[in-house]
Amino acid sequence: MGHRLARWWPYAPALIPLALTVWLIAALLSASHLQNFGWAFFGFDVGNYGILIFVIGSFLTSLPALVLAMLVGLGIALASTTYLPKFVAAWLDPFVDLLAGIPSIVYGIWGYFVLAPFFGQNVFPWTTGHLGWIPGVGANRFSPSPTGDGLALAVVILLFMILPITTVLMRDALLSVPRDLWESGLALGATRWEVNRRVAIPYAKRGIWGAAFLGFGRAIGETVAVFMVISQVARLPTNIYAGTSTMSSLIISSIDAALETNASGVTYLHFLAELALVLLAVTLAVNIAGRWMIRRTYTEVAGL
Amino acid sequence: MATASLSAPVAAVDDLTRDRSGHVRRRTLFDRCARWLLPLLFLVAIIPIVDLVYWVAVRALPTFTLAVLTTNPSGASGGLYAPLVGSLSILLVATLVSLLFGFLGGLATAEYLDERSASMVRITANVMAGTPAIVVGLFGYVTFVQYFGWKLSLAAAAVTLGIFMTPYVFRATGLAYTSVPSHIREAAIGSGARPLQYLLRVASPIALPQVLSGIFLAMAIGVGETAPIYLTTTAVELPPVGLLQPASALPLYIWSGFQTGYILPSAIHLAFQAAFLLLVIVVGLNILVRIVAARSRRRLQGLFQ
Amino acid sequence: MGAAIGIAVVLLVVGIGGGYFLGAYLTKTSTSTQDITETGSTLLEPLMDIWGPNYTAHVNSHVTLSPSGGGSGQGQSESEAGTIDIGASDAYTASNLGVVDVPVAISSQLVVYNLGSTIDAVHLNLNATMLGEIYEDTLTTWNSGLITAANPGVTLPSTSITPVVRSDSSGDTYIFSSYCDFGYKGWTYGNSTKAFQSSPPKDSQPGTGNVGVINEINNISGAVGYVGISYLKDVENDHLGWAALGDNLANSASGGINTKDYVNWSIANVTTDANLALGNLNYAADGLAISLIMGGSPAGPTTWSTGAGGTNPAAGATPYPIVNLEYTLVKTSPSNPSHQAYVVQFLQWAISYGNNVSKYLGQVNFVPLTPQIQGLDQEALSEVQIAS
Repeated sequence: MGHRLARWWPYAPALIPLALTVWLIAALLSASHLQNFGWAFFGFDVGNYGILIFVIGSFLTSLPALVLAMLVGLGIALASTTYLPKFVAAWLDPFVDLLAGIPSIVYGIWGYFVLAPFFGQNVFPWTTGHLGWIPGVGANRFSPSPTGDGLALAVVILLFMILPITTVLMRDALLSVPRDLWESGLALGATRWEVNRRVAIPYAKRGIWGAAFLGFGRAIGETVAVFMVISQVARLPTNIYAGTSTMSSLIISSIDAALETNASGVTYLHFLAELALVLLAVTLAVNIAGRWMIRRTYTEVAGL
Repeated sequence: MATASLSAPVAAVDDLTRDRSGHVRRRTLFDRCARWLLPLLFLVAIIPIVDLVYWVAVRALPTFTLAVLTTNPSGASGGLYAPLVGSLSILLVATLVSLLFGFLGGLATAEYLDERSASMVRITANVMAGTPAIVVGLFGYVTFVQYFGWKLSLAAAAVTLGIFMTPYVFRATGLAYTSVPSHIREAAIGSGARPLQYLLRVASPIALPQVLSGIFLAMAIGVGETAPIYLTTTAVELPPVGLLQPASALPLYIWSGFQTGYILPSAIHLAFQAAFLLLVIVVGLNILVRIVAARSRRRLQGLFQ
Repeated sequence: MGAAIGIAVVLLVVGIGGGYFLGAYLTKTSTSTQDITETGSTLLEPLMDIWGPNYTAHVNSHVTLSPSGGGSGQGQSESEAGTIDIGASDAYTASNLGVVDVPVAISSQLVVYNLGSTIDAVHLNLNATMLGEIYEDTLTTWNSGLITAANPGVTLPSTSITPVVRSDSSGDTYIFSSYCDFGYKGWTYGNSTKAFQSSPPKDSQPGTGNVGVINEINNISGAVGYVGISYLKDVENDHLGWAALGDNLANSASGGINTKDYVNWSIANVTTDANLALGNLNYAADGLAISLIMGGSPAGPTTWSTGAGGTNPAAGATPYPIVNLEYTLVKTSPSNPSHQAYVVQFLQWAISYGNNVSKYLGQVNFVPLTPQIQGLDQEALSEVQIAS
């Protein structure tokens, strides 16, 4: 790498990613007429263009989905690397990648037409009946609704959508544990579970945290599927089945109001552009943190 | 000489390894549980795919005739010819755009930058890959539809989608060119190859298959995206006729079926058929990715001998 | 070998994509089909979906209509930008932006509730004051004074009222919030497609799309919500009830006890309301900017203020109050006048033959335009440049 070239222009294309990102931010900045809304922008009052409800909603959907995806993903990664015979793992791993390939809108219609009724009619009555004593899991006047959509369904859909990224990255992290470290653990009489728990996972800790951050970034940015199942309303949810709103679902659900050519439409477009910038900032921060963490155990996995 | 009795050492080892406290049994229990329970978690990944494909197929296939692929949509019924051609056309132009930005960028990073700058650029590209699609879509609307004045068109949708796909092509290109074995690179330069010669004659034939698999992956991601094209084009019932004319796309029909389908139930059928078609295209492209990636891996291994 | 296969596959993909593109382009030029792009209100989209194929089949096989449902806002901005040929909007758009408003149909809305089969079979009397208080969260149970006074023959349960709102910005929200805005003094939500989005009513439930609203009402006992008339069949299938609505302000002011002031939905009653409102039209001053809510207003929509809407209909007249003109927007100075001729032709068909109830409008329960509007539409269309 690194021919020393006399001319500058072969180096220039390397700036393209930076240039595109800067262009994107600049365009949104100008579209948002920053500071149009003052500090109320960061408040709760949606009528005054406050976005806090949407930020909280984004976290309320993404964090539980992330925790679940990390647990399931870690389990799958452990199974795939240490417990299953190689040819079995080779057959099962592509299934996880297939999950990643399904377009978001197809997840959305499956979620809305198939998963939501199933959860609403079969799962939620059970959870409110048997687990209702846990705060937030019990039913209240409005939720769960038999149609099924709401916060819980959004978390389920997000779980499926970010499972591939967490699983593959954690698998890579586990695979980067040096073999002799592994084997010396076994030689000392530890079971595979113990080697995993006390040797492999601590060693791969950075990669695992990186997987968490990147999965979280993906979950926060997810728009179409979340909007279709979340029963969007600009309100914090009262229990886990209630509808709520995320930053991205608000943008896509009210983009039409922003296109109106009257004064309120123009202001609303500014508002959505500024909200998009906040969404971008959160995603960028999380992604930068995640990429920085996995840089050592990083085998470039294209598509994630 | 007295025959050494083995009974004492055996008894000693026996003593040492006896599981007095039951710990070993418990530890093995944990391990056995893990061995059987953890693989079950694969079901969490497998069941949704199977269920999703099943339901989409159930609602799409009964009325799916060849006519669906060859007739244009007409109101809420008809076929999917126009959206299919539209999706492919948008994808084609978007791939060209992402090649322009991503291939050149990845190439320059891999070949001409030193390690530190290269890793910084890579971080930027990876971070760009994490941009939410709706943000890119909003950017595309504000920039191409309004500011550039392209209005709702194939060009606006394709360039927006192309920018969205760029990081993936960039990453694949960078990976491909850095994985050219160093002994080959050194041999080429040692033999007096100029940078351009090296690129064209030596590195590219080795790297291109991997770049190709990256392009197919970017295409698989791009064809299914709704947000970048939702704001930049509108559903038309004819195949695209020009770069600055609107072009339809499959995700738009799925979206409109979701919004208004019940009055004219044929719209829901159309939506599921569009979803099925989309799945076929995405799975097809993913299979291509694997085939090309496997071939290039085999070839690379050959080079290391 | 691998590279050869790779290149072959790329050529295949590029070839297919490019071939499609080229083929479509070439086919298009040879048969010169004119495609009219339409986007905008999701209320009008089902009707456009019905009109399009019929127009191509029966009137002009070289013209296709491409309807899409991007929302009224997109319809407005894109028609003004000249990006699409017809923009559909639930609300009137000011005429200084190079477009003319051409109403093509009259839609209406139902107020739907779920109170059990006995009450659902009756049409409860509700007026703007009651609905306004429900959505403003000051009226919370069904057997409250206001509602019982207006429904003497009905035993109302003590269930709490759950208002249902739309989760996406929509023309239905615009129409319903207009009714409440014009009829109830204490209304704070204004009238817009996103009226309830910023601060939804306290105990409200969101529904995504009209179907979502119907589902929510169906699932919650004591729920009430607004549904576009095209979904009448779904409401009937779910055995939900819909209200007879108070049609004028005097009714509200007097406590709403005159049961004669509540009008049930029917095509005839919607037409009565439309005629009543259009009698107040001041075309010279306001153009076709008129609201049909509650019999319209003598002063015109630009002078509405909260709680000041509605007229006192004559004795015996029964205007159904939630009625809306569906507008299409067409650019007066298009970039391609000869293509615009086809657009104008289509709209002329739509406002005349397309307004046939049994063939087209009946499928979505819309009401035909009055002859007066048809005439004014023709005038508006004559302003569109169709020849260069």
